Amino acid sequence: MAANPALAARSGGIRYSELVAGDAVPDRHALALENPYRDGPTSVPISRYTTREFHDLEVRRLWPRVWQMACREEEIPKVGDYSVYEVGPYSILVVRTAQGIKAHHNVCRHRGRRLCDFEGHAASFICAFHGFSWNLDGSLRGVTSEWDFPHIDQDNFDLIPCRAETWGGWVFINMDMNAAPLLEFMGDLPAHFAPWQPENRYVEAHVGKIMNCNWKLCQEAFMEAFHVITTHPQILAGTGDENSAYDVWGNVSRAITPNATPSPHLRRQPAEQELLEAVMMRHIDDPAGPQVPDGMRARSMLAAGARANLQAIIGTDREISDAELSDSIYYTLFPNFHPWGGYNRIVYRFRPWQNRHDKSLMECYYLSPFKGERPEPAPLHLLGEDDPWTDAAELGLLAKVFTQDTFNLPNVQRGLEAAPFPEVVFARYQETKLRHFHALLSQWVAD
Amino acid sequence: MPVLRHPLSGATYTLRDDGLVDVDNNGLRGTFDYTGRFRGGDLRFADPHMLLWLAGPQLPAGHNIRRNR
Repeated sequence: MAANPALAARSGGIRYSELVAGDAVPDRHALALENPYRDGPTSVPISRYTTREFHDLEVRRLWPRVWQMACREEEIPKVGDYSVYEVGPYSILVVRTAQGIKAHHNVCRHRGRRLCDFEGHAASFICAFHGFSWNLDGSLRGVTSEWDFPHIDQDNFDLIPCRAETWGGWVFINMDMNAAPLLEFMGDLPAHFAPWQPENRYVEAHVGKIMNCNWKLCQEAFMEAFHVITTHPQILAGTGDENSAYDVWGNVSRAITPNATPSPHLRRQPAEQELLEAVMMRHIDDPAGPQVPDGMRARSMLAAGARANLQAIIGTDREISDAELSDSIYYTLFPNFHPWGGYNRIVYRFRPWQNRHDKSLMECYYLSPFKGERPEPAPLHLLGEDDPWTDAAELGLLAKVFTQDTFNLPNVQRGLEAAPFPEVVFARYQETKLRHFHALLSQWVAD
Repeated sequence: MPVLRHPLSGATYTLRDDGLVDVDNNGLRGTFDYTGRFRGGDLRFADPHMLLWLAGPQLPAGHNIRRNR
């Protein structure tokens, strides 16, 4: 059957911009900005997800050259604190020095042992093999049996440096010392996030799980609301999945999925009380919970409660919109950093697990506002491939949502590996973020 | 026992004490495990994600709340 050009470019449901215009406190910031994306592939080769060859292309041409979130500044608060960031075969030390945050390849210049196996605190980095050592700033500190190495130019035997720059309390690294500055790479993202002040939040939770699928396949499940109708049916009554707005700016893409509004797939208008209960993921036999007052929208009620809770913590005078408090606003900074906008606490990061094309590490941070002294950041709670998300109770109900996504993902990987056809197909609008991602990826891995 | 209504089909999903789920779709009834496998009755298909949500791995008591807001 030939493609049908008469099919509508958008869902028949209410547009996101129309929905938020009716809010009790409408958004006056970046959420109203639109920049739909009409380029990008509507299909990509399955080999991008299933082959070692494509993984190796990424290892050669993507990861060594692109900005990547490595850790939070608060995870290395004191001089000598360091974090280890790993992607594919690469391992990078991110360390706080007296001169600021630095990054070095985590490899001894003598025989190549990794210097640090995990995060910690050090006065210098000493190789556990023969004891060569380097200062925190990467300069050579000591050569064991120095008399035996007259052939080493000690002025050129520092750890191999990486770029380290910060935004929003996050530390980003780039192995390419000639890369454009981080803020230039980020483009409009800092302006979008300015009112939400991610630098003034702390890591309340940090959970990672080893996933039996390619890292791109995993992250793409969190870049669209198209899957909600089938994968998360329990929230359909209170999720405007097909009303989502998808926009793109440079290396940044964004989806906004409105909540406390029904899915257009329902073909009926639920009462405001049903919308509220769907958002709260309540069972129909639960004892009566909060009631939506007559004449009020569930959306406004949820936003009002969240606004009061938030104001008590951050004390801002800014008029926080219903959308910032109610909706799912999920940004992506190419290639793998996914901070949520507004006052949802979620931040995702996805990358290959070890150096595998068919396993990945999915991480979820809760980045929370705080009052008074900054609390200690939560350490990584790492779940193995067979551990259920619900072992991470700190995620609350999101752990059960992830369980549904995880029910699909290994089966997508297995399906793709057996697929008797060459390409997967993306929706023209609802999979905008995937098309944008793959368009950029094609540029990065090209010769 | 926890009961969910499917927003599209209207079918009810009821978790039983033994961990299985009874599904009633317009009077047609079936029983399934949380992976979607049929265990008995006249209804032979149920939504696997509804089954997983209701009868799959569960959070410890007190954690069934939205924490990401």
